[in-house]
Amino acid sequence: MNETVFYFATTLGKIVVFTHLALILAALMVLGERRISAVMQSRLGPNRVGYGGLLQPIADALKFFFKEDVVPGQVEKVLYILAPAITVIPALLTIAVIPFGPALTIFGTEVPLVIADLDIGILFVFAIASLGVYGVVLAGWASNSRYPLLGGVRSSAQMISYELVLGLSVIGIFMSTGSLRLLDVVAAQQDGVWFAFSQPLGFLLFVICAFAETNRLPFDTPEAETELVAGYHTEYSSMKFAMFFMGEYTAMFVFAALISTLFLGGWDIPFVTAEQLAAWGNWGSLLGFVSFFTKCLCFMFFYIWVRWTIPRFRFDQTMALGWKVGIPAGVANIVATAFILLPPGTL
Amino acid sequence: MPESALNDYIPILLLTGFAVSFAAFNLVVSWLLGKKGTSNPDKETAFECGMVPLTPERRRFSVKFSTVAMLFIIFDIEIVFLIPWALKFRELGMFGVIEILVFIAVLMVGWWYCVAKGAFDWSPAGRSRSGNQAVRFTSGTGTQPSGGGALSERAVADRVES
Repeated sequence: MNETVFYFATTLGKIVVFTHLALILAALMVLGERRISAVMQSRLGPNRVGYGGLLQPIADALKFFFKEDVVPGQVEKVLYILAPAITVIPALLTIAVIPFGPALTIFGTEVPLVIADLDIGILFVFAIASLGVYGVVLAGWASNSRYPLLGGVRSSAQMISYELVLGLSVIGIFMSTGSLRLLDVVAAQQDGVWFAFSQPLGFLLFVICAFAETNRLPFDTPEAETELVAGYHTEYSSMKFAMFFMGEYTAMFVFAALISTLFLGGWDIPFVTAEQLAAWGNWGSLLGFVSFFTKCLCFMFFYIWVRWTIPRFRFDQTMALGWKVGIPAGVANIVATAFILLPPGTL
Repeated sequence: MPESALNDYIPILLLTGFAVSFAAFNLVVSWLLGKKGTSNPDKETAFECGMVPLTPERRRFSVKFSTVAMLFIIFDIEIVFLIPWALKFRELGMFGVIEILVFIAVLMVGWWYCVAKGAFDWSPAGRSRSGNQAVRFTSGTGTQPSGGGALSERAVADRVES
């Protein structure tokens, strides 16, 4: 088989499989959220469509497609229609650099389970993920309505503030790995300990940022129901409304995947070395893949758990936490990491 | 396939195509399948919890949002400077650590100035703990936006405070 054809075939295959995995997981997360929330509140949740409500997301999607698409008169048409697309596209793009498992061997060629093995890895994620802010801001602005505007500006202020802490929290990792490539980060954790243990402060900051960046409780002031109705998507209906949710839940999956990759060893299985995993060939890859997804699912459960545990912060508390606590803590983490990692003789 | 540094980005291009067509598919299909409703005055107006909106919708909002955006740009660039250092940290050794400590010190002086000026105090004046109300960022002597509502109430409170 021609090498170029093989390359494009596998790349397209990976794109289709991974994006669908992310979207299906996002849909199941919506269902999971409703069911788990229900359990936590001693009620049943949606359980009629399919076994235990498993087909509920499909029913919801169909219903969204057939709903009337109300476009209020006061909106700016072009931006109003573009905004949900701008929310979904970056969320899907960030999947590109996430390594889903050890390399598969197909027809004797090693195929890494990552769509694009970029050497700037995590920087690509940050660059693209921050584009998601535009979708939110434009939705708020183009709606030309009170609550969406407030939700939009709040959301943008919150997301850019926590992006700083996000950036600071991972620098400790790069100091240990000396590389931004996510495959190298995973390899470093297979050889040593997971960064969740060697970088506890960075891990904590990153988890907080994951909640703030995806506008999840306790940081969901941009769409606080009690004060802003539904925040920036108040004026949206039909599939456009659903697209904001798709973007948001895909972003949640991406953050779960990033936390698994950066701090929880990626596809690493505790007490199994990289050589042992490689010795099992494609079955080892599959095991790694399962391990990676288990970590993602655990973190996604954690999202829901926190939602029903911690009440929403006020907006001033959110901003104070990001700027007054997050930034100095991130800087302290970098300085501490520098002194710990320096060889003892150099001091 | 010709060798090029940009070859790594071919999958990104394909993925972008996929993501854009996915978004377009959703928009077009919901437009094709969606119920075509009739128009009426209530549907045409902005959502206002059932009330008829009295004032123009695009009101002014707190200047703090732009302050935060500006501070973000400054601090984000500083963080970008930290990344190359982090990657070359082991080679640079003690020299690099001292350099970056100086850099971080300058950065944190700027950060401390913002804190002292109250740039990150979003709570209404009475509720803030920083105790430095007289030099808050928004409490200039210029005219305040004239719109009603919570935000300008806060602005008025600030003006009274100073």
